[in-house]
Amino acid sequence: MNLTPAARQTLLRAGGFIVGLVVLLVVLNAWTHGDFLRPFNVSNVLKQIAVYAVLAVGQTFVIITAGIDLSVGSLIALTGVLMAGVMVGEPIAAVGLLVAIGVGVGAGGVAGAVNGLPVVRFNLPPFITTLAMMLMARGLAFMYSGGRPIEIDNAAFNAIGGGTLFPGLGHLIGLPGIPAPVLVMLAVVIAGHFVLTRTRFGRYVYAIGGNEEAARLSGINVAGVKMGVYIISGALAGLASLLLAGRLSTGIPQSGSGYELQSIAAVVVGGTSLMGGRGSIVGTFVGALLIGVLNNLMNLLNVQSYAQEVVLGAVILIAVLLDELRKRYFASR
Amino acid sequence: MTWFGRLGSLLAIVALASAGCTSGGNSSQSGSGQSASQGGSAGQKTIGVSIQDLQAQFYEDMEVGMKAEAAKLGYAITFVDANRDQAKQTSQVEDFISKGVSAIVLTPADSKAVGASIAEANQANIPVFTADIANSSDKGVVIAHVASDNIQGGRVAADLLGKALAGQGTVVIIDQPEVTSVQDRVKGFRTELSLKYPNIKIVSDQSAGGDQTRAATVMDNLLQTYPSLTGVFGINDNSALGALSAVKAAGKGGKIKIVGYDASPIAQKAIDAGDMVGDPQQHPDVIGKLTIDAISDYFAGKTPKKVIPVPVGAYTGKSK
Repeated sequence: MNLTPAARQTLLRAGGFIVGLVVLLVVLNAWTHGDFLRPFNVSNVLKQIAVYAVLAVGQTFVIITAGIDLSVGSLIALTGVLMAGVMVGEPIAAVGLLVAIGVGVGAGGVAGAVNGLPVVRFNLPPFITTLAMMLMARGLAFMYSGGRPIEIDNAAFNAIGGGTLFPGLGHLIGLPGIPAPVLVMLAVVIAGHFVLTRTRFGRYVYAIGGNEEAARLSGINVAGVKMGVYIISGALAGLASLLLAGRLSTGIPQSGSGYELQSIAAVVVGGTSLMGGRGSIVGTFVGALLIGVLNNLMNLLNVQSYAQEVVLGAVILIAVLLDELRKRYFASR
Repeated sequence: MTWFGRLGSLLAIVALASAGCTSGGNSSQSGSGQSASQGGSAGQKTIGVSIQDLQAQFYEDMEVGMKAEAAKLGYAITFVDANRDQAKQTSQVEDFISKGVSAIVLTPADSKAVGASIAEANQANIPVFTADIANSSDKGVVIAHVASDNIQGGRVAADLLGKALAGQGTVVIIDQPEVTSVQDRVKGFRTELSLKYPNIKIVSDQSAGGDQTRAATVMDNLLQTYPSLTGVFGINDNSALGALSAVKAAGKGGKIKIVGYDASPIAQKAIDAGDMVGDPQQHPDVIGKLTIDAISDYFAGKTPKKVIPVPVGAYTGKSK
């Protein structure tokens, strides 16, 4: 093989990484008496991060344009009760399912557009517009549901959040199947990665985050692209809500609180810069995975609940710090 | 810059971080943390408990009751806090299943949405018990439910308020209607009031989510809307104490009679000082103890009662 030195170095590093990763996983596994790597637990962790990861993919788009979306947690609640509400009393299950998904993802997208419009038209900071939406959506969720959870009895809907697919594949590793929300999450991650890296829209997202004025001067439709990222983030909040409401088979007006910060944490831990212009969906997925693995490990190891939050906060801080140091190290060579 | 470099360094911190704090965490496991993670292999049974909100005094007392009884019977017991987030609690149940605990105790974060996670535990053949709050969905099978008789507790609250108002007045309820046990309290309260105190009118029933700060805000607004208000029923002490601070701020301290629920230490102080009338008093430590006893019965092959009621008393101030 003819490899450039850079490619060789990358391969070497990748090799070292994989060896290190395997050693680490084996150690963690032994430490939890073999519970950690059991297929059931691995499937658990992936299932548990699905909602956060889907939110974080949308958040990544927004943050790369140097924006922020604080409304996604509340949008989970609003679209969740809306979806549960439209399915109540719908006699044909398939109709209920399709209408619910349309309403959930659609309402999320509309909310995203409402977030984006004042940003592109009046140059309001996204922190403000999405903070306003965070409050409004939460309030609307309570108003619509009367403060009470709405039960969902649509089996197909609940299967998307809590069911499994491919039982044959699952039986190979002793599981009832591959959790449906994990497949949805992977599809969203792959689609998000594709859009961000392989489409014109994706390149524009980076260009705007890197230098908005330069992007404008080079003829990019800055307003359109920015509207796009907020709509994507809102619509993905609707999709995440579908996974959460299906998993709990209930639309809960209190749900999703704090999820906006969880999604931002996943994005930042995944190496995306809050200043915009830099970041990746794969990094975000790794960030969500890391937070999920950490939560799971602490539960398996009987770490006290209060201590868990301290550790989580510290890990986010140290992770971003280390990433920064590592970048400086490689930049100086 | 490649993402796997980042992943590598991050995983290393995860390892270090969890290492750093398991030793600390284990010491709080009522002296059995190490054996807890070994579970079945050491022959000791482990009970996993996920509490709706571990910061509430009520649940702290319940935790104490459970720990003491578990220690007496030789079980290892692990507590996690669901922070009122049903998704989080569902994840905790799944982690309990991964760990292979012998029994799971839940105080559901959401009485309906908890069903799916109970069904997951059923599928893994792990017995589930609920304490304080029941599973009200049609999914999932619970071996036994241990809780205060909240309907009776609501009647106790009505009697306290009815007597304090001498059977005459207008009252509001600071509610948290999404919680089943609270629905029972309010039901008992309304029933008893209409039966024994027909001249007391309930003019408003508003949710403050059981939260003290929100209760104060809700009460502020109610005081504006109903200036002639004479009584308040807060469905828990946070609601009652929040209402109390709003009443005091409005200069109506003592004029508006307040009844809470639970008789937490802070509420007891307020009752002793005459700021509140009295409280139905639950016995969370007894609930905790009886839950562990039910589990022990189940382990011994007996069938515990499906619903185990714990009577509610009344606290009306330091015995004089």
